[in-house]
Amino acid sequence: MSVSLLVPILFTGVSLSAIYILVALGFTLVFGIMRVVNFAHGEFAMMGGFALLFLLDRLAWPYWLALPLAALMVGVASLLPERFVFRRLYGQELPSMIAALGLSVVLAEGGIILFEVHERSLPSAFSGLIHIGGFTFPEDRLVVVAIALAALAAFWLFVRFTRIGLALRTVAQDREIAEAQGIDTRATYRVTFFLATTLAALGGALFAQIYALSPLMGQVPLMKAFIIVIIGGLGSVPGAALGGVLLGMSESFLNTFYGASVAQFASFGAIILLLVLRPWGLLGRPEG
Amino acid sequence: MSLLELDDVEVRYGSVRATHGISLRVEEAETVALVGSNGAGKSSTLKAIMGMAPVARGGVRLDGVPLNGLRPSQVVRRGVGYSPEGRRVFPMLSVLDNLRTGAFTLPRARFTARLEQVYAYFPRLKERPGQLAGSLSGGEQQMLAIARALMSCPRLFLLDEPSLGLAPVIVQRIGELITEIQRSEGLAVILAEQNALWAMRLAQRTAVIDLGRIQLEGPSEQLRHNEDVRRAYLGT
Ligand SMILES: Nc1ncnc2c1ncn2[C@@H]1O[C@H](COP(=O)(O)OP(=O)(O)O)[C@@H](O)[C@H]1O
Ligand SMILES: [Mg+2]
Repeated sequence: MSVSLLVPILFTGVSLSAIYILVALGFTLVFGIMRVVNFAHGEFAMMGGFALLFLLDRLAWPYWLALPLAALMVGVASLLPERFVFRRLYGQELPSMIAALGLSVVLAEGGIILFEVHERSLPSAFSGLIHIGGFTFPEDRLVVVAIALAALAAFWLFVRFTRIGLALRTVAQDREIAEAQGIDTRATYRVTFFLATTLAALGGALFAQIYALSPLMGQVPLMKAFIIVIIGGLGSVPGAALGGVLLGMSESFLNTFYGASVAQFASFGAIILLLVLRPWGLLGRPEG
Repeated sequence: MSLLELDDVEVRYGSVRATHGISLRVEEAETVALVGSNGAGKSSTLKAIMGMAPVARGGVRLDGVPLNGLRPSQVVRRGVGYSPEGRRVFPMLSVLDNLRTGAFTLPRARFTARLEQVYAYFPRLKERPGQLAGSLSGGEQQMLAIARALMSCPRLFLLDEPSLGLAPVIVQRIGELITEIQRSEGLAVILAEQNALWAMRLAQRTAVIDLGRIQLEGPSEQLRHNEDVRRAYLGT
């Protein structure tokens, strides 16, 4: 394969991977720490897109301000369902999952009522092309990759080096004992949910920038997040990173050479195979 | 008023009654052994104090203040430390991070000084702060579980089966450490143990628990030399 073909494919792969990891990370975090399979995760991504549209279009805020604020707005708003829906259902996997499914429908339909069902595009913040070493990259994609990578790095530093990050890691390993050592695990849940939905909203906003924005767009990121956490292992953060890279890269390659159907076929085929052979994922651990 | 008072505490898991009304007093700076066979209700009693088990009846008071309804983290904040059965250190965290998790209720300014105090009891932990807890030996994990609970500077320390599955020399070492820590911190300790004779040597007072009830209670010396007690409850 020639380098001229390889570089754009790799670049697309990197930008897909980065967005996918942003979305999947929150999904896996909510499961790993709170034991909630959050079917509404994709809707928080969708809300990120609309929040960004609102800030850019209505309020004409500069992009650099609008993007992080859009994500934070969704994160703060998500504390409402955390408080009034999920908190009552913690420790009950099935009821919380069904509540999340309900929340997903409520948010998507709410989006349709507010914004109508059609797709729209976000005003492009960057439309230039950048030339590096004989290759041409669209500026907006470069920005997406840079932002996603920066957010992932910030997340890693937070979890690894702060006191709250330490609390998250203990709760993921043994919630009962974390609480019995003096860690307020309810506060930890709140932080987890906030982080997860903020990352999802950021991913959704970036996704909407590259593709399109619609109230129903949450399904796609949720599907990707599912695939990624099945590959990597539900609840595993390194697993989400590995799964995101594998999915992003393989989609980029297969899309280029065989088209979107083959790409979808292959990724879901791989999932079924993995579920049969190694249901706990590549980096996850068997239950029990 | 005693430091800790349990009045007629019944722990119930759904339809399973784990204790049928436990009453117990613990004074400041006193070690009490809670001995009994597997399934007798020792762990459930400790968990009732911590707010980790569903209490259907009765009350727990610390300094005369009821603990009922508090979450475990709030009980820790009131001055109770807990070292669980089976150690349950955080396996994927380093020794130092495990100790940090025990210090969330401690004002930040006091952390370093407290860490040095706790390290002084456990020099083996001080030698390997970066090692993952999951890769420590059983005895070291038990020491870490004790050290982690001590980080919050408790006044009452609940120790669940610290001798379980450890070699005799390690058990002896842990016993010495418990005594040393109890003395120098002026701690009140409840030591829940199946290894009754060992626990009774460490405690001034012993309560024998069976079938979810405290069957008898008294100075450890006396119970240790009572033939009926030895035959009925201590398996000797
Ligand atoms: N989480 C639980 N759910 C149901 N039953 C339990 C639970 N924990 C303990 N039990 C039951 O309660 C009784 C007392 O157990 P426990 O307090 O663990 O005893 P010990 O610590 O003395 O071995 C046992 O019959 C045990 O099976
Ligand atoms: Mg027990």
